[in-house]
Amino acid sequence: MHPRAKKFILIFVVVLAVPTTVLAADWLLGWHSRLWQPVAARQATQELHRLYQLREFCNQSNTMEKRLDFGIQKLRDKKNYWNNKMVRWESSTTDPKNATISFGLSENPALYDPYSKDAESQTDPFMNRRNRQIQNLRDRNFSYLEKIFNDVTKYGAEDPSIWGIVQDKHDELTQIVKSGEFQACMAVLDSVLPTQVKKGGRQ
Amino acid sequence: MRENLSSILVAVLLSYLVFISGCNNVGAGSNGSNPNMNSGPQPPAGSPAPVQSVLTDCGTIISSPGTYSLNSSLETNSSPEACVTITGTDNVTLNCNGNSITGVGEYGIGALNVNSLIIENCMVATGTGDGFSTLLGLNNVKGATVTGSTFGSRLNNFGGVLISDSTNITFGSRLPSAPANPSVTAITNPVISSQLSNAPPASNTLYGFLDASNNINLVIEGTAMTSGTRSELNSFMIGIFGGQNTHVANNTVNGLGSPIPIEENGVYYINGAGSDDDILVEDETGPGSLISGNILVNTFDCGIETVGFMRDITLYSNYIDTVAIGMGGWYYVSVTNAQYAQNVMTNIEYSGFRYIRFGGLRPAGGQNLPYLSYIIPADMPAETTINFNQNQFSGNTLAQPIGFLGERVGSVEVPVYSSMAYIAISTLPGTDPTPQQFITVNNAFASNIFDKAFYPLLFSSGEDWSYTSNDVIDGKGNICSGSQNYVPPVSPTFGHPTDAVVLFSPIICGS
Repeated sequence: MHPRAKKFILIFVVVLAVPTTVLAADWLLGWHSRLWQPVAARQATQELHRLYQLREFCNQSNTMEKRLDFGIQKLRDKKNYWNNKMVRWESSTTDPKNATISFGLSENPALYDPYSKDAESQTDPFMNRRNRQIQNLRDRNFSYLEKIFNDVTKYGAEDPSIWGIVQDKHDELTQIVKSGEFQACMAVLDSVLPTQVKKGGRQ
Repeated sequence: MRENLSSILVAVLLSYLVFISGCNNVGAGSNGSNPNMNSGPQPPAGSPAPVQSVLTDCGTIISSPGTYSLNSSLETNSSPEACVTITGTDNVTLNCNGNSITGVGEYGIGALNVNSLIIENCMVATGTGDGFSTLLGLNNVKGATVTGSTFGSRLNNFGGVLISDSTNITFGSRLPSAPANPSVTAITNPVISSQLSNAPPASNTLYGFLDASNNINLVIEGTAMTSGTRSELNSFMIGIFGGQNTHVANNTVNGLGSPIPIEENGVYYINGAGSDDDILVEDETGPGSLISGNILVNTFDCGIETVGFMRDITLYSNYIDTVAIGMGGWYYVSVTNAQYAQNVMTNIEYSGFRYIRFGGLRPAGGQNLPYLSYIIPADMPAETTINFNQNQFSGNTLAQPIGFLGERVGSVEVPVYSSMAYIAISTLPGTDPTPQQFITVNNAFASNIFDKAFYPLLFSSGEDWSYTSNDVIDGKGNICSGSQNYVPPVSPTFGHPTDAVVLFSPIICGS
């Protein structure tokens, strides 16, 4: 064989051997899981990712609902304070047995019923908007749940062992997500999702 | 022949090297493809080097370590998923390079189940303006910093930033003082104009709210925050719920609200404009919790409100202006070992400090309670005492009360002598405490300067006595208009005996 051909083949073998050796070592030493995991993990957890995402949607929906309820209740409190308030600051300089605290709550606790309806209240527009927006969140979560199930029906589950458990809870999940029980939605998903990545922060 | 052989060998070699380099450029995109990225320089074959990619469209799911950047702005459609999702991975940097993420989608950037995350230089203003957009959502993230970014828009009420179930998150960066905020000026809040001069640039800017639930070691620092829009109801600007060792430091927060109600046909009401509170703290525990150096302005209720318990916390050197109550709480409130020091409060409509108790002893966790804005852990024990205990008020200043409708403004209303003015409310679940279940001792007041236009300090209210001789400690050096309170002649006294009461001044007010 011509020396230049030998040289070509030698270079070829060396260049081929280096990455092959690295890959082989990678495989033998277990690095393969690190090297290849992203593709495998992504394919195996697509519906899993979506289920986590649905849980987070329920978490965010719960947060938004509580924010609105807090704001509306506080608006009611403020309005009641301004329109029912008694003389301020008299309690310390009169006999405490006859004293009153300034918010007047004990006079009419029913005013503080967060579910009471006050036709004249300026909170009604906020209440209406709150109900509409919470319904939007329910619809969003429900359509996302249906998309997960439809896609698995169409393309197959990438993690059948977990999906089997989820499928058993389809009716329950559907009912809960439709109803807007956001915390219950999280609880059901927690019961099926792998626990190690379910929850961080303060336990 | 030799040339043919060389060509074949080179072709095979190049194909092989392309294959090898491709092995390390995976983990982002969706459905096994990577449609939204242009790959940058690739690491050497065989090592688990991080990905470096440019995101070119919304819908990207990042699930591999690496540095991801934007070279152009992205626009979301109405998809429920985030424009950029980071999930199930660690060591990710997302640098938007000042590019924006906009569009009608209600979710800008989402991080879920991630360790070690950096987000920087992003401008996120997504949603339809209904106030429900998650501009940035972090859930179950361990170790993250968010800097150099703007969330929301001053023109629309898009939504806010949500951080939950996470540990060691820093939203912002360390600043020497509260930053400049274009919505807080010497014209809007003239009393604090000296604090606004020479203010450093903000680390992050947020139009909307920041809701943080169930986190450990969360730091919110150097943020210029403004409520969504003046006409929208915003419950709170910064909400920290169920947190441990939370730091809220050096932020400039404008709730765009007013403590003065409007009057219409003899009916007063807050018109729903702006925020209830600048900072809302619920069930916070230390050690080391800190709220300091903040400029907090323009709400219809509190500068800093507490709901539930607050333990082992320092509230230091905050400037609070144009609110109804500087610092206070009443719903299920219980405060232990809080240091209130060097705070300055101006343009107060109702009272500087106001802590009373609405609602009975809380039931064990796992159920929703009104006004508590997070998911209470199922294993939280039932409340056995109601505390206002071991708290220190030192070096605080109250000046320039508003005095709406000729009312005098309160300085301190903390009825430790009389069961924190406890009131049971039918809609707040709980059992009635006995007077002995109020633990209200060793609350010290020293070197406070309360303008004498404010009402005297109140420590009793007419409810059942929970009086001991060391409920209030005079640390001396206080300037105030008085502190005369009626108390029982005998200490301790619990309940509501019919004995005559006597006048008592627990704090000697200097001038």
